[in-house]
Amino acid sequence: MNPGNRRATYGQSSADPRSKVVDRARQSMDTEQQLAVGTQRKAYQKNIYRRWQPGDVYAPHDLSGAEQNKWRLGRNAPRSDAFETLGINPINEYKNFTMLSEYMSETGRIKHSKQTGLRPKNQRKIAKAIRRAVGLGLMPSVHRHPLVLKSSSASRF
Amino acid sequence: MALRRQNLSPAANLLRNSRLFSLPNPLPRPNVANDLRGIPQKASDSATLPYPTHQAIATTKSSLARGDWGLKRPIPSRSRIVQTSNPVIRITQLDSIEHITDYDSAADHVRTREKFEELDIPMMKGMHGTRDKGVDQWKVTGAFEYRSDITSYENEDGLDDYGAHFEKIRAAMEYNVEAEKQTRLAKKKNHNAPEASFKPHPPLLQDTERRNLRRWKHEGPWLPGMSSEEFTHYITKQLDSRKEEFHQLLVQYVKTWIYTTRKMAWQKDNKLPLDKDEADQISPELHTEWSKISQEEIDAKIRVLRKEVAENPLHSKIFERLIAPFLRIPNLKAKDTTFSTENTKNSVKQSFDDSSVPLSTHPSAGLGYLRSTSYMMNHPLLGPQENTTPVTARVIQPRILPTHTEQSARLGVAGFVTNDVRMYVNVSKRIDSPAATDNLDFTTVGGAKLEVRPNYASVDTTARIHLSVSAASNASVLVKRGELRDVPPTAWAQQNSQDTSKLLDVLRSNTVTNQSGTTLGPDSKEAKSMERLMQDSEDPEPPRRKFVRSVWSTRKGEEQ
Repeated sequence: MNPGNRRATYGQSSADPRSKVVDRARQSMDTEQQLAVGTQRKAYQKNIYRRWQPGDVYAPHDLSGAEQNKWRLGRNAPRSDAFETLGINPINEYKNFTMLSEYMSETGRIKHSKQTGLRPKNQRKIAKAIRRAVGLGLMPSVHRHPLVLKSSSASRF
Repeated sequence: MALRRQNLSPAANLLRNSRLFSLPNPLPRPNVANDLRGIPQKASDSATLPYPTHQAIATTKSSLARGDWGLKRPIPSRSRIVQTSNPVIRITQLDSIEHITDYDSAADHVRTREKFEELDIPMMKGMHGTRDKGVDQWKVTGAFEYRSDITSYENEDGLDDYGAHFEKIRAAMEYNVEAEKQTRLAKKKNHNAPEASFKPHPPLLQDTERRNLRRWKHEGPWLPGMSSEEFTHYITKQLDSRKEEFHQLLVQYVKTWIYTTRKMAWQKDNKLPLDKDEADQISPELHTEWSKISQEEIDAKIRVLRKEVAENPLHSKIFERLIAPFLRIPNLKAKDTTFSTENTKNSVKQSFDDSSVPLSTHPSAGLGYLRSTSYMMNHPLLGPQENTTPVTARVIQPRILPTHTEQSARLGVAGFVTNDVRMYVNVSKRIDSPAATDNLDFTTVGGAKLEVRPNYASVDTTARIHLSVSAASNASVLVKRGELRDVPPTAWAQQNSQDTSKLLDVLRSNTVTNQSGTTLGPDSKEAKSMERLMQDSEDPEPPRRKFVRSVWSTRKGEEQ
């Protein structure tokens, strides 16, 4: 397989005991080197998250580290309506600023249904609830609620 | 009545011809990552999609300098997207709520298409649902071949054998309905008017050429792909009104069936007289006798057909010969899933085969218009070459992954990812070895690359492009690298044969004993080197020189 091993087998056929010792040392060095290469390879492969499928198309930016990071995190818009699944009427949740914060941007704008994944009916209702909460003075209109900000980590939003 | 273009006001004309209005609506965004059993996988939202969904637009140099792209507002020329030698953009939003035109670079798909053109490979048809299996197992035909590039139902050529037969049934049915109508009218006037004579349709002709007809566009829907709502809508809105028409066809089919059965039974025992006059006398009598078919007989035969459908729906006569051509639906194929791992319900023994899913695009996917690879590469120095110039492929994903080992590595060829399904016939003599794609190569700058020969490309039902590649021959790789050795082949061959014969003589004397007189072991150094020499002598040409002979033989052929 590797040249080191072959050299070692040839070395064994010679009668000189000193060369045996040298070969063994060389062999162990090769194994060490191999192990090091293996660990290094694993470290690189750990950072590759995209699994390519036949038929995928790639451009240079698809091979960048930033793109790999996106494949690792992969935070996509939810595909199903959360309120539909849980059976909650969002209009009744106007006092629940923690929940409402999820549906507005950090500048206080109501998120588009593309981002929230809600069906039109629930999207209208959550928008109404946010406007109601802001109007009642329960929630700031330009930023998330301070209590929400306090309890969340910086990377959350 | 539609307004004629000339009648429109100049302002309306201007708008109609503007880029603003000529941009088509984008296609729905396809999934980049495969869903694993319905669970969405993590995926990047900025990854290049498997096919373009937005129209790419370009502009002239002079307009580019002014930022004029024919849109509502100019695109800033300081944007990094337009600061390339050949900028192309796609418009995600013409006008957003912030009064901004949202655009992005469309270079990914535009350049990929240009790279595909450089490959000079044809688009083929015949590969469906082979996302995981590779392309080479399927028999393919060119995307522009007459038999596969058919969409029309009007033309006789556009129908397969069942379709053509069905048209004959329909024609006979229409004739019979008309004849019966005429008879009814005649009977109103004269009670003793003759009965309408039944016209049977001709039998089904088995035609393999017609059977192989593969249309890519169907008028009818793909039933297994419909949701229950769509299916109900289809049944109630589109099929209910056609019930009467279908029943008439069914009656025509059944009547002909009974007619031919009677005819066969008669022909078994009797023969028509050889004399023409006698035969002409008998045959109309026989015809009227066979044509007398009662309603009960028809109903009984329909019941037989229905029973057959209940037993084997997809291969029953009524489905193949009547229903499928009547609704103009794509071929349906079922596969047995009794022992399939994907089958979760024990009661379901069959499922629809993916291979019969109709294509969503033209089989060429609009990528290329080449019909075959029957062309020859002409080298400026070496002349016509047997093989085309190989293409450098990127090992985009090695075979051995940290979690598992895949069947094949993934190669990136001209921006398309494909399975590494190259065949290695003689591994020891190849420039590149299969092991090159086994592990991640992190030492080579830019990643591991190798030379492949692209064969053809094919589009699948999800509009993904699959390339078929094979290993590039060593000679073609050397020609590409420019490692040429223009030696007259005859002189070289003579010299070579002398060398090898000498070498072989030496080797043969050594095989018995070596100098010290001891027998050699099979693993000894000498034995191994000898083996290598023997192998080389069997195929006396080293890869470097192989192309010389191939070029030569081509030239010699031209002279003759």
